[in-house]
Amino acid sequence: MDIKSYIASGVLELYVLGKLSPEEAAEVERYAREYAEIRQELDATEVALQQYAMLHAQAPPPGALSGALQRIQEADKAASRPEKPIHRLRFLAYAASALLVLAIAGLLVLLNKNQSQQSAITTLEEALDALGASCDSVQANYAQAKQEMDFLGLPGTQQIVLRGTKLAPDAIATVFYNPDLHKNLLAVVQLPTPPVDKQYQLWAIVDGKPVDMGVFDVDISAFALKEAPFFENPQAFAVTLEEKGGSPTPTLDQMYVIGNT
Amino acid sequence: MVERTSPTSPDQEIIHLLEQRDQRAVTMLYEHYSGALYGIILRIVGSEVVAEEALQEALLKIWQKAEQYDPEKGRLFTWMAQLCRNTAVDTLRSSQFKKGNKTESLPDIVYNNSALSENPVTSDPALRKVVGQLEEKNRQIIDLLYFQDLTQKEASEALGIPLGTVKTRARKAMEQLRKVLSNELLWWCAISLTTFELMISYLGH
Repeated sequence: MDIKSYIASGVLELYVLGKLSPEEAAEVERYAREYAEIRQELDATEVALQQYAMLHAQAPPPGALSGALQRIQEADKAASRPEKPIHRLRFLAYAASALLVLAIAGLLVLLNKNQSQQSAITTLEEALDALGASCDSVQANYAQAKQEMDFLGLPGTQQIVLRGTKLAPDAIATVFYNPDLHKNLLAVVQLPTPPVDKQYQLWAIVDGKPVDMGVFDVDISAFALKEAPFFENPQAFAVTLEEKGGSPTPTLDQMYVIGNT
Repeated sequence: MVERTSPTSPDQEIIHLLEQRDQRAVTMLYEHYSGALYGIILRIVGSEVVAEEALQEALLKIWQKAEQYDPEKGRLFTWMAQLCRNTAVDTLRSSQFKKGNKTESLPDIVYNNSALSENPVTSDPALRKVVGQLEEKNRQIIDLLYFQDLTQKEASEALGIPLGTVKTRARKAMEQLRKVLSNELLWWCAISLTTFELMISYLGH
């Protein structure tokens, strides 16, 4: 390229004066790197304009420098400030997350606790129910026992002891008989355990004839009194072993206990 | 060849301080260049109040944009002067906007300014001597492009010359300016004068 005519064109002056487009300026900069003459010409133009500007120097008003430094400090402060809210926000986010985790953990603990408490309550309720039920049954038993005791203690209640026959010499049963109340209670003290297909049957002997008073099961473990049908003026009570369900007439050779009134 | 940064030039140290983000850079460049920069700004805005505002704003921009300055592309002063011209034009525009002169376009203000008329700072003997040796049309084109920061097109309109002539006239004007300046060896005078003025202004207040 023709460096002399390029310099003479005035493009370098316009470059120093800042009048070129970015593309034109980039071209000048490229040539300045390549050609020392162009670099030199640019420098001379810059120096001349700087000197010319120096000649036009005017003293700025006093305080302009301190004002400018103050602006710079404020701007620097403002520039560094946006970081803080980010940190603060980040910290807040961390804190919020931590709180959330804590809250969830707390909630889980409470839920767990609640659940175990609930199950404890359920257990207690069940125990209470069971206790109540057993209390009821105890009360019922007690009421029944009291009623039986009252019955046994009445002056009109006679105790007829039925003693074992040859079949079972140790067997013993008792019939509590009260003609005033028309009520009988049978207490089995000791009877051999019957075969599975047989049952004991109670009989009253009225006017020389046996009268059916019903079958009963022997429950050794429970000394329970069993109410039996009432008949006037029985001479004796007896228990025979019969087919399951009972028999219309007693099988006399299977008589286990007997007692006269 | 002119040294990019002569031994007496403070540019190297200012650039170094700017790179270090040391605010003493601003104080230092203010000591050396505030007069010249303020002179440029004052020529553009025409009001000392607006000029001070623009100078402070320009110094802030120099500080903030320091890393954009590339010593390979030119002198520190050239870069700072360009920033000051841009800032001055912006400040002038916004100060007119604040006053409500929204309809008044910028070039009118600029043309009405002192560029085409008598140089307002002719009290300085050294400047008067230099300016006196410049042809009027050369002084005008430098003023318009450098002190007024007009575009080539605006300058061609202001002077009533073809757009293509702006470039060649700028070249001729700069050739004459360089010749006058080298003849007068005013470089050191200018620095001492600026420093002297600054000292006066500090001592005065």
